[in-house]
Formats: sequence, C-alpha cells, structure tokens
Amino acid sequence: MIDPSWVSGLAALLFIIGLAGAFTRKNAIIVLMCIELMLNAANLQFAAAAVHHGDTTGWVYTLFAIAIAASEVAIGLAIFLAMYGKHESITLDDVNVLKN
Amino acid sequence: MGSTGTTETIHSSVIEFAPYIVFLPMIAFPIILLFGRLFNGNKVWVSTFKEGGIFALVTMATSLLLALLLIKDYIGAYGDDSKSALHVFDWFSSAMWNGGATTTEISFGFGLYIDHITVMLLFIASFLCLLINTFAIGYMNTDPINDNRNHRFYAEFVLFCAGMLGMILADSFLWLFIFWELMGLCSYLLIGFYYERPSAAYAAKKAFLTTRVGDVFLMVGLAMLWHLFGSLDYAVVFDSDNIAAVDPASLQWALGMMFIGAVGKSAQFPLHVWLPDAMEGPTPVSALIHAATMVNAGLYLVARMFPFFGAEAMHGELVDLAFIIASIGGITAVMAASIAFVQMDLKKVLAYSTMSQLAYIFTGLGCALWLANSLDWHHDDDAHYIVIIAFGAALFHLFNHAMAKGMLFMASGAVIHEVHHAHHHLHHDDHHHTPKELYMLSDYLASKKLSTFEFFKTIDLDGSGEIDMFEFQTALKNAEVADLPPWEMGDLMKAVDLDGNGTINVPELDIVLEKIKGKTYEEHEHDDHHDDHFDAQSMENMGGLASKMPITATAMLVGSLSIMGFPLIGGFWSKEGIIANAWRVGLEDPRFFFPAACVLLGAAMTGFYMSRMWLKTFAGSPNNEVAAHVGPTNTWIKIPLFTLTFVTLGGILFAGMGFTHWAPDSGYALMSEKGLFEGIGYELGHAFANHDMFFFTLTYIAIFLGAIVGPGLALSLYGGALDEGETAKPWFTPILMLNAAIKGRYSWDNSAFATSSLSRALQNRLYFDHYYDMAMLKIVAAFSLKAAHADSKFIDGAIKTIESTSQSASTSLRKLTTGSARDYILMAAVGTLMLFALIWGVMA
Amino acid sequence: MKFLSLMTRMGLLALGFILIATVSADAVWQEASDDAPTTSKLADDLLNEWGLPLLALGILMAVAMIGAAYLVRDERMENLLWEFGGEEE
Repeated sequence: MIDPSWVSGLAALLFIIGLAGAFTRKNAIIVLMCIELMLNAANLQFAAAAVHHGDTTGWVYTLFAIAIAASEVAIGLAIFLAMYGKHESITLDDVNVLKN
Repeated sequence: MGSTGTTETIHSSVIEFAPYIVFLPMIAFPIILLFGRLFNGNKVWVSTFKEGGIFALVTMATSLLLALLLIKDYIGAYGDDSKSALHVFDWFSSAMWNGGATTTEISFGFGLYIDHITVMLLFIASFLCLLINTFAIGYMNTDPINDNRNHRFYAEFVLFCAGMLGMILADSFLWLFIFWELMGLCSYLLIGFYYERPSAAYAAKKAFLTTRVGDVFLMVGLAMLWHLFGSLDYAVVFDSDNIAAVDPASLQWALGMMFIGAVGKSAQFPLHVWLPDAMEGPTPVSALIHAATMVNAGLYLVARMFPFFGAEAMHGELVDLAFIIASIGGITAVMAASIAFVQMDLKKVLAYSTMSQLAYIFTGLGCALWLANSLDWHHDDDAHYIVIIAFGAALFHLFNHAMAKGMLFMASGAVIHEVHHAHHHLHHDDHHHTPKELYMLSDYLASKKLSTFEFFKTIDLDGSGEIDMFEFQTALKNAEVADLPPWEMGDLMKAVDLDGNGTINVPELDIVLEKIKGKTYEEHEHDDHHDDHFDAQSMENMGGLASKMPITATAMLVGSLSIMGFPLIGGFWSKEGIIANAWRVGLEDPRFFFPAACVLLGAAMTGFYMSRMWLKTFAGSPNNEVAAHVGPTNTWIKIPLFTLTFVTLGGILFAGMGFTHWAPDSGYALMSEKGLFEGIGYELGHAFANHDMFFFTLTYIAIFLGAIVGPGLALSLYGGALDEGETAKPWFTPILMLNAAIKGRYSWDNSAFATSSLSRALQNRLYFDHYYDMAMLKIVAAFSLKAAHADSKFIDGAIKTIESTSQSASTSLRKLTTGSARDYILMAAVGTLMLFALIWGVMA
Repeated sequence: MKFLSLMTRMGLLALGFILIATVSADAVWQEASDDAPTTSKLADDLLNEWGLPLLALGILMAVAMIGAAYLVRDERMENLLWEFGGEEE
C-alpha cells in the first residue's frame, strides 16, 4: 500500500503545524484543536510504524492514545467553561492573573 | 589536675597543688558575685560575711598558705637547675605548615614555672593580697556609701589577685600576657568602682587606655619573640642554645617593645599619666593595684628578661636597651618626685612616690642587665658576684617597696577614713539648715528668669516627673552651682526632699525655693563651718594626728623611712644597693652618669616629700576642727598595719639572710654561705665601712642627702610640736622635738617657690595630660571620623549595592512570567524539545 | 515580542526540517517486515495481551467523565443557599 515512510513524513508535518498553531492562536478552543492535531500526528506515526514492523503494539498504542485524548479534551473543555464563567472571555490573552 | 610535673632538682610535694593558688581566687570571683546578687541587703550577708569579704579573705588565706608551703620547699634549695616546671593542661594544639612537606606541632598549654624570682614575687603578691583584703574589710564595710555594693568590690578584688598570681606562676610569655590583660581589666573595674562619679569613670578609662598603648607594644614584642624562637614557653626561650641561634638586633627590638609594655603598666614616663588619676578608686584598690602588685607586673616582665641579657651569646649586644631602661627609670624618678613636692592630696603624694620608686627599681634593673650583658660573669667569680648583687638589689627594692608602699597606702586610707568619720560626726545635726547650694540655685534661677517649673522640666532628664539624686547632681553641675560627689548629695537631697521618698518633685522644689527666695546665704545662715565640699583626702584637713592615731602614725613613719632609705630600716639596704650599682656602671659606661645622677638626686627629693607628707599629716597642730576630732581606727585596719610595720623594720634580717643574693641566683640558697648574724654583720660592714673608697663616699653622700638634707628641709617648713595636752607615743617624741626645734630656729618662707611658675607647672603635672589630650584630639579623633565615614560609605555601601542589585535582578526576572498562556505553552514546548534532544543526543 | 515571535518561527522552521529529515532517513526504514497486521490480530492482542491496560483505560475515562461533569456543574442554587445560610430547610 502506501509506503509508511510517507505517512511518517505527513505525521511530522502535521506535528509542526499543530505546534505552530499552539504557539500562535489566541482562542483557547483553537489551541485545544492544535494540541489534538499534535496528538493525531503522533498517532499516525505509531500506525505507520506498526505497519512497517508488522507488530500490533503500535496500533494498541494508537487506540489508547485516542481514548486518552478524548478524556483530556473533556477536561480541557470543562476548564474553558469555568474560565469563561470567571473572565467572560476565552481569549488566552485576557487571562493573565499570574502576570509578574 | 592531670599534670605531668617535670621537677628537676627540687622535689616539692606541694607543687601538685600549686595551680590552686590561681584557680581558687578565680573560682571565688563568680561565687562572690552570685552570692552578692542573691543576698543583697540580707543582714547576715552584710554583717557576718561582710558582703563577700570573708569569702575573699578565706580564699586569699588559702592561696597564701599554699604559696608559703611552696616557698618552704624552695628556701633551702640551690643548684643549677633549681626551678620546676609543672605542666597543667594543654589548651589547644595545632600543626603549622612549614611550606614543604613538614609540619611542626605547636601546642598552647598552661603550666607553671617556678624559680626563685617567682617565689619572691609570689610571697609579695599573696601576702599583700591577704593583708589588703583584711584592710578592705575594715575600710569598705564601715563606710555607708559602699552599702550593698561591696560584693562587686570583693569579686573584682579576688579576680585581680587571680590575675596577679597567675601571671607570676605562668610558664610562658603568652600566659603572662593573658593574666597581664586580666589585671588591666580588673584595674579598670576597680578604679571605676564609684562609677556614678564622672571623674572616676574618666580615670578608669584613662588607666585602661594608657596601659593599652603599652600593651600593643607588648603584643608586638611577643610576636617578634615568637617569630625568633618559634615558641613563647620559658623552657624554650631561656635555653641558651636557642638564644645563641637568634639575631641580637632583632632580639633587642623585641625586648624593647616588651619593655614599652612594662613602661605602660608600671606608670613610667611617658605612659605615667594614669597613675595619679587612678587614686579615684577606693584606697584598698590603690594599695593593692598601684603600690604592691599590678605595677610590679612591669618590673616582673623586665626581671624575666634577665636570661636574655645574661646569655653568653648576647654578650655586649643588648647594652643599649639596658641604658634605655635605666634612663627612663632615672627620668621618671626625678619627674615624679618633683611633682610630689606640690601635692596636697595625701593619696596623690603616695602615687607619685610609687612612680618614683618604681623608677628606682627600673634603674636598678637596667644597671643589672647592663652588667650581666657586659661582664663575663659566667666565668669570672667577681663579675658573677657583682651581677648577682646588682640584680638582687633591684629585686629586694621591689620587695621593700611593695611592703612599705602597701602599708603607706593602707595607713593613708586609715587616716582618710577617720577624717571622714570625724567630719560626719561634727556635721551630723545640720539638717535644718538650708544648704548653701540651694541659695545659689535660687540666685541662678532668678538671674535666668526661670520659673521653678520650667527649670524642673529642663533637669528632669528622663521625663519621669521626679528628680532623683543623679539628675539633681547633674542639674547643679550644669547650673555651675556645685559639683558634688554622691555622699554629699545625700544631705542636699534630704533638705529638698520633704516627704522623704528619695526623689524631688515640683512642689517640693517650689516650697524650698520659695522659702529662701530673695535671701542670701550669709544673712540667713550663720554657720561658717558648714562646708559641703569637704575633701577628706586633702592634707589641709589634717595635722597633729600623731597623738590621735598612734598605730597609723607609726606605720606611716616606718613606711616613709623605708622609702626614704633611712639607714637600717627596710628600704635602705636595697636603695643603697641600687645607687651603688648605678654609679658602678656609670664608671664603666659614661652614658650611665645620667641615671646615676638622677637616682642620687631622687634620694634627696624623696627624703623631702615623704617627710613633708608625714609632718603635715601627723605633726603640728590640727588645721581645723575636723582634724582635732579624729579618733583611732578599727581593728580590721590595724592588723595589716601592725604586721607590715614589723616586716619593714625587719629589713635588716632579710638582708642578713642573703636575700639580695638569693633571688636572682639559683646557685645560691638562703644562708648557705653565712649564718644569720654573720650575714647581718657582713651587710652592715658592706654598707657603712666599704673597702672601696668611691663607694664608701657614695654611701655616705646618699645617706646625707636622703636622710638629712631632704627631711631637714621638710622639718624646717612643716609640722611642729603637738598641741598642749596631746601625748604621743614615746618613739615620736624625739622626732617631734626635733621638728619643733628646727622649725623654731630655721623656719623660712617658701612662698617664693610656692607661687613660682615651676610650682604651677608641677601642679598641672607638667602639662602631660594637656598635651596628650591635644594629640588625641588632633590625631585619633580625626582618624576615627574618617574611619566612620569610610565605614558608612564603603562598607555599608557595598552591602546596600548587593541588596539593590539583587532586588533589580529579581524585578527583571519576574518579567518572564507574563501571565499569558501562549507564552507558557511556548516555554513548555521548548523545554520538552530540549529534553528530547538531550536524550536523543545521549542515545545516539 | 517581535524578536520572540521571530525566534519562534525560525525555531519551528528548523524543527520542521530536522523532523522531516530524521523521519525520512533511510536508516530508519531498513528492516521491513512483509505481512502487515490484520484487524483480527489487533482485536486478539487488545483483549488478551493488553487486557489489563484496557481496563485501566476504561476506568480512567469514567473518572474523566465524572470530573468533567463536576467541573461544569451549575452552582447557582448552591450559591444562593450558602448566601442565606441554609434557610430552605
């Protein structure tokens, strides 16, 4: 099928894009999405490696990672809700109580 | 006491207990202090235990007993190594790196070193400490001004004794120095015993600082000695091989520095300024510290330098230092004697006399050291003999002087004590008179147009609404009304403090001042004897006391004769020895004519001022009614006076026993060559019928000057016969008759001398204090201002810079925490990536 | 700020190049195996070999749910009650 090395490259590229987004965006949900993107890139890498080596361990890791990502997103969104309740905005720049 | 006693030829069973001589008084110090605080005011403590006096007495008696047992073992012993050393404990040991692969072990330990010089000074110190302690009980405890603070006195007294005894017994220059400093401290504490008096506090400070200047030089000298020898132990330093290995010039400098320390401690020119002011302390202090023991510390130090001068390797190298020692002695002798001519205060005369006599001993030591250094005394028997008797004369004079001066101070204390009591008895019932000071105060207020209330506010220093004695005293001083000592403030306070609560408040002051407003003292009061500024120490308040205080007068007579060098009495034997040796050296080395001449002149001057002192106090008629009212003194004071009179009179016995040969020479034991009577005969012949023509004439000239010219002048000016109906003890009668006769026939008017500028200069103590104060102000004060400035600017500045730098660094670092989550994500990501990179780098 | 964002961009670019270079290096893809795993094999391994971690994961997710639910609870009633000191009962 597809050469696993290309999938790996795609994963790397997605990771960089996710990282750039996490640094740059100011909307909290977008930042969460970028983090998900990074996670997904890592999953892709795992899958490609599993195919290449013929071992199911990589795929198991992928499943687990997806599950954990889901829980993490749930918690993250809960935090954002609380943050909105406190500061009336979810722009990360407005939440700077810890400044200096 | 875990000791490794290395006794040499002397097998002393007591030596194991010898450290207790020092340790007992040292332990007694905190005990007396503690008990004094605990039982302050307790009746039994005050009357039976004399506020710690009995404790001190018992301690000093035990020390004396141990010392006497120790001395007994040494008296008959002789031989080349007749000294013992006892090692008591190791203070600390360390190793000094020598710069290569070797280290030298150095350890500082405390031990005892006992030879004949030690024994003599030990006897003097412990004996006098005991006697003066007895005296102090009689003197301090019967004077109400000292109530409830005597425990402090006895504690400091006992600590001082510990210091002196420790210094004498110490086995290294290090411990000598440590105990030296301890004595300096106690001297400060005791001179400033009446610390509420500004003059006493000033005198204490002055004493401490002046001796400190000497101590700095002593420290430098000890450091140089350490550098030369590698150790300060006597066993190492006095070893002739070690001395031979040392450079003479450096040794001379080291010893010179140490000598300056001795100059400070023994109050010689130029560091003499503290001794007269030190008379501010109570009389037992003056007796002990400034006559009998502490000032002997300097002499002891110089005496300990003898092995250096006597060593063969140093032959002829150290003569310059010997000359310096002798000259300073000579200068001080004459200077102090001349200032004593014009003193009216009894204790100050004795202080200057001390200075002068110590100078004699220094001259004697200087000459002896010169002789030891110049003559080949190790091989030549005659030279050996000369050096021995020169050194022995100086040490014997130390002994005589300590005994006589201690007695003189105690006798003068007795006189002052009784005059004080007489004054109190006479003016006991003058309470209802308003003191003169209040009239002056009222005039002052009127002239300044102050109301009583305004004045009160200015003098109430702590704002408590009431004036206590100290504030009142300060107020009177600031208003230039009077500068009263505390015991005279009592009467004044009682006159103003109407409700008797000890403090004055505004209504009391107001009432009293209102009563006398507008009146003057002369109109309203009519007692012309009421003098609140009574100085019990001034000889103007004495006179004719020979009939009233016989034992004291005898003691003082014998002491004065001893100091003057009157033939056959104690000081004669040693003083003649010093004069003879000074001239002997003068014949060999022309430079020594100067100290020799000074010493001879000093003999005449000593005769004069000591006679003057005795005659003004005890002969003639009483100068005022207080003197007429004086009675004999109490038993505690009489005992030491009695004892010391006999010791001084027995000077001939000591001389006959060969004392002058024994002290410096360990190869000689007391009475080993001649028996007692043979010895006495020999001494008499040696003194009065000397074979050498030069010394024969010299002796008689000295006797003539010291015993005839000096006293003769005094007899013609002062004193006189006692009043009608007064009887004196039989041994006074010839003196008083002689006095009356000479005064009657040859009396002359000395007012030309009394008002001359020389007299004024002497009364101002030759302006030394004035010049020292100016030097202090210009040099020390300016330097300390600069130092304070540097301290606040640079040192404090450095600290402040560190503080402000760290503060600004912290502030700038805090800017990293922007509070923005994006930056935190960035930081977290960067950190994680770095970690991965690190692991990847390590793995690959 | 500008400097920081410039640095960040450069860093990201550099990181990108490094990652892609590393991932597509030949040394990584040397030992290839022929048979790619099947889904049935995956299920088999998941339930047998990785059974315990699966269980743990389930519990984790349950706890996460509960936690999230608690974090977003509506507190208006509780606040009111607290304010008036439990006057309801």
